[in-house]
Amino acid sequence: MEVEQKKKKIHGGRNLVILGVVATILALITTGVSLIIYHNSGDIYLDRSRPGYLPDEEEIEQESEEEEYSLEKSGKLTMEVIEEYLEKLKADVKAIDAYEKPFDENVLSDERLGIPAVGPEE
Amino acid sequence: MKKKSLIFYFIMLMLICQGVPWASAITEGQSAAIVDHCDTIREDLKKVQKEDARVRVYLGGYYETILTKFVTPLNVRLVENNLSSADLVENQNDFAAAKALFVNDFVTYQQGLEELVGMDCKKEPEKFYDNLRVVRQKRKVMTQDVLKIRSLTSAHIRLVEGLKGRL
Repeated sequence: MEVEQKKKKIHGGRNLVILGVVATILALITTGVSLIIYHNSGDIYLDRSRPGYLPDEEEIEQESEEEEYSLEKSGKLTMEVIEEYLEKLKADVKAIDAYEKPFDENVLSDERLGIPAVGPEE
Repeated sequence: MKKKSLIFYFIMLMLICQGVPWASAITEGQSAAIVDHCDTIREDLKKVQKEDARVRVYLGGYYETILTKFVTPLNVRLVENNLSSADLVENQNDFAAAKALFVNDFVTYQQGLEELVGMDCKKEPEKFYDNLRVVRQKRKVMTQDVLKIRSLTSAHIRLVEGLKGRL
């Protein structure tokens, strides 16, 4: 009787370990699959919450300070509404233009990367 | 006849190889420079990667705002006021398509850039340089996307200004 009880105890402990190991393996597999999907779908490149890509404090402050404007989808369309609309829209366009040369091609030029340019005689 | 065809294909192949920028090999000087400055180049590319992510969010945020808080509500309101404009609707569709393309092209560009950063430029300087050329082309596409959206925004402003006469 005592021997049987001992055996049960041993089995219980072993089963618990197996359960723990299986759960860990399953968690690793599902996490791995999620990361593969996250990478292959391209979402990783659009995500700035990953380490090293977090926005600067200045950016966050700037965003919170900005006044939110949104044109109402209903209501009478008057000259004043259009004037305000254009004023707000032009302000956003000005902010876009303030960013000088986005995706500037020269950033990846040979000169910038310290690679000698090919001469005509080469 | 067969001989003529072969000569024709050979000439065509030569012409294509001349026209394609990555078909030409890099010079020994360039190869040596890539090997020597490999770590620095990769560090520079990583900085570019981070800066580009910042630019994408910055511009992408404004594009989203323009589409969802300006262009789309305006078209809805124009319909409600019986002032619907086919040009403005077309502009909205083009803007949405250009915005989606901007995101897709950015993902493609970043994938290329990441592959480039992950390459061992000390072992394979020529392959590295070939990939660099490909990434440059993808970056060029990004510039074109930005210009396209900017031009659509200008067109939208002009169309809205034209609305004033109809009010």
